[in-house]
Amino acid sequence: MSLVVVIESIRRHFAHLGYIAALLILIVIVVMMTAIGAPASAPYALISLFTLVAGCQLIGPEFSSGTLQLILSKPVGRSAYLTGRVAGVVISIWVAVASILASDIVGRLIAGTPIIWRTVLWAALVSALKVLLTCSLLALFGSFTRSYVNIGIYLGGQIVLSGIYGLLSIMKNAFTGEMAAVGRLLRAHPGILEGYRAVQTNLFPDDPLIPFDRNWILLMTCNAVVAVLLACVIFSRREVPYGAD
Amino acid sequence: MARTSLTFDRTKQRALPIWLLILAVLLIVARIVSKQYPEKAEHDLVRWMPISQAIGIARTTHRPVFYEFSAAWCGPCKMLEREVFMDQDLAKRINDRFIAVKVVDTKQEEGRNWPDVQALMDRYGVNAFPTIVIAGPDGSVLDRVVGYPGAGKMAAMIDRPR
Repeated sequence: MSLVVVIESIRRHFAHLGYIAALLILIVIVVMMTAIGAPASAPYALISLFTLVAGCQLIGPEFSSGTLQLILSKPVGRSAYLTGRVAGVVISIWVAVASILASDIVGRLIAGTPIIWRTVLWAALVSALKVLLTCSLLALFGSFTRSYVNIGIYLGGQIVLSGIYGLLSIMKNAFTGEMAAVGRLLRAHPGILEGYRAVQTNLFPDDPLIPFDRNWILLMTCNAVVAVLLACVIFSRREVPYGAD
Repeated sequence: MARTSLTFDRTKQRALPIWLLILAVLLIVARIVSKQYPEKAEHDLVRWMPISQAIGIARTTHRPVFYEFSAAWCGPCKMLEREVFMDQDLAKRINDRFIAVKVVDTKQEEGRNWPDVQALMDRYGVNAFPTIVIAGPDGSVLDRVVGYPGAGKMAAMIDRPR
């Protein structure tokens, strides 16, 4: 990992007027949400949008804008550059998560509502880990595409995978009609649906049911690290085009 | 005076980060080992719906209703809660497939039941606890279990195609 790349990625975010404005708006919204007694996890829904906006430009657009060729002419390894970019973007969004946590606590103190530390801290940790996995997946999808295709794959994958799972679940219960054969197959081999569901939950995990669930924390960090590793493998072997799209 | 190298070995540019590889292997091993020891919840993980809303939601979502008839004094009901409703996997399956409704009998404590509770108990002829009734959005009985048959049989009941 290149520290220069990490620092430069963080600096770029904090020097961006849009980032600062979004962060300030986020803080105001969180304080208002807390004042009306929203649950601890509610403000972090905004972070998902924040992550998608910041994460989509992690690597893909650099292929298309032509800046990558220039960057890679410097004495920096491709993997070091990619991991540095991921770390920089993740840290920048974690700052927003920390700001939400602080605003949530301040809002509760102002509103006079009790602070359940375990719930509040767990909500922040869930959000931080989701940011890590989302950014890692966006880096992976960006490593073999160009422009903003990574965000398309990410959102499309989420919609298509859950849609197909819903259809398969319905087909599993089909006893008559055209789908009866598919239903029979799915009932005879429950592993098909379970395997499919495993892929889906590994890429886009559901929220944990138990606070500070060790297995969920490991799932998120492990999948994020594997995604970044795969991204490094692809990125280190990929041809970097000259010039912009 | 320290000498700074102005050359950069280009072959290193495509090298993979070994630390990341080691970290990934360690995390995969930790995940596999940790999965053998699932964490136990401290409370019921099923998303119970109020009786008044359940049928409406079931009709909109086309999902069956999972009624659990229980009572505070009932021992097997506590076992059902501990082994099924506090189990992450089973609770998740219930949440995904059904609209869950907990119907608690209070005859022994308060001498009578709430009218909506009594109406459901009369409708499904409940006279023992726990009783699980899986009903269609129209109220028809799709499945019924009296007593707690164990987590394995409960899992099979939850997964049974309807």
